[in-house]
Amino acid sequence: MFHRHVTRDLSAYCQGELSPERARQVALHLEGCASCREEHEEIEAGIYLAEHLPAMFAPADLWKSVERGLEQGRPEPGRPALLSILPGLRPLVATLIVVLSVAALWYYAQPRRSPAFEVDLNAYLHAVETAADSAGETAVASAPNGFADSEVSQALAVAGIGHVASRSPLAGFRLVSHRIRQVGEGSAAQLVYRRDGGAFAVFVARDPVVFSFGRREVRATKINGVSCHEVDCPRTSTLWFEADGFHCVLVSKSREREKLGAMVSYFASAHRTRGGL
Amino acid sequence: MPRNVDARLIGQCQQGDREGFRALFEAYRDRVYTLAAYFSGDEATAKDVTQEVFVKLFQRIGDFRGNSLFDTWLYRLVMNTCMDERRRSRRFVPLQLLTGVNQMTRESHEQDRMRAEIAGLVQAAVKRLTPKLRLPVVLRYVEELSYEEIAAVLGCSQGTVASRLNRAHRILGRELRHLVAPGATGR
Repeated sequence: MFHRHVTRDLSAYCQGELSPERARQVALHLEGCASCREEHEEIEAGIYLAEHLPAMFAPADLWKSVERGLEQGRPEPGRPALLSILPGLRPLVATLIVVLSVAALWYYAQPRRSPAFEVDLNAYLHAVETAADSAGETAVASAPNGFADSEVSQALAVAGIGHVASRSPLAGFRLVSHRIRQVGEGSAAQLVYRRDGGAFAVFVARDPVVFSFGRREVRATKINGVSCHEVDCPRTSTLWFEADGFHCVLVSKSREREKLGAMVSYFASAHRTRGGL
Repeated sequence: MPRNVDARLIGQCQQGDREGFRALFEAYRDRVYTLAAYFSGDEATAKDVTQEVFVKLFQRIGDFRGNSLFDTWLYRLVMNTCMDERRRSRRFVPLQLLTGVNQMTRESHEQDRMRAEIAGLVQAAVKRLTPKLRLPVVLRYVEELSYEEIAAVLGCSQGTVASRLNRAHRILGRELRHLVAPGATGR
């Protein structure tokens, strides 16, 4: 006689997913156990209800979206991996992987100095992502560690947009904060644009100064045709992109693609035109 | 279109045949969208995720070696894309689709208003489940996968699938018991 309760197996039992022997044991137990029978009725009701769960129709224009995605310069489909075409390469590649792994282990085992020209925005992003909804814009506009208020012309020069700064990147948004941080022999700028109910912070630095984001995941994407990377920062839009030797990081609570795209395009095109000056 | 798509169609797609890919898209668009919608709870996100899934599918179909059902492989791609989107946005917006459930669901074609009403209430109750419980329910009842297939999609054991479905059934049974007429379960 099977004495232990069988509640864990009741769904599988009702849906024919148990082995015949186990199903027999459950059936036998139910005959003699009122609490499991009660549970069984409840689960049968749940199954009956779940069987009404509807499927959905995808939007009619979805194929167009997919086609756009396919045409945004992504790799051709269906190409088999190189190794399947050239099986003779496999031992060579395996050896190379081993050699590189050993070299990497040796390299990382060496005592390291922190990069001289790196601006780590991880703490700043943490403050932005954890800010209460009502304080999100304030967090975006706040100064990360090491950034200090500066003359607007100085910040714009560091950001490489002095020649186009008279044109606002977004209608209605004004440049309200301009800060600089010295980074080794270089510098990085933070520009904050605001209007009622919205704020964008743009960090800009020129090679060799770079930005880092702790251990956050970074994913390649494209916006307004500009290749950039989306940095994992919950409830926040954080885009990192490069243009002509300038590294830019856009941070905002806004999820509006149009506005984000406008900001990215502004900085990307400004740096390209600067390169030609 | 049968649940496991014709191997020839997959072969065409692996050769980069856009017409073949369009046919594959038409076969799976609603199913992928349904999963994305139930996972994300947001129409706009579901559309974005579905688009991303098919773009990835087109890029990666060369990786499909036929050592699993194509459906399972595709569903895993959907799940992973949904998880990526979830990590990016870290939000679960209430299922706004429900406001238009009669337009959005296939049940809207049914003459049986009671069935459609139950469908809407069940959909609302399922959306309130945690993702861990919601996904097996959707895969079981919308995609009609077995416990074994659900386990393959979710990357867990069949026992875990059974346990999660058990909890989900119990929750639905308790919340919506009043909708079940005596004898309706037929078991």
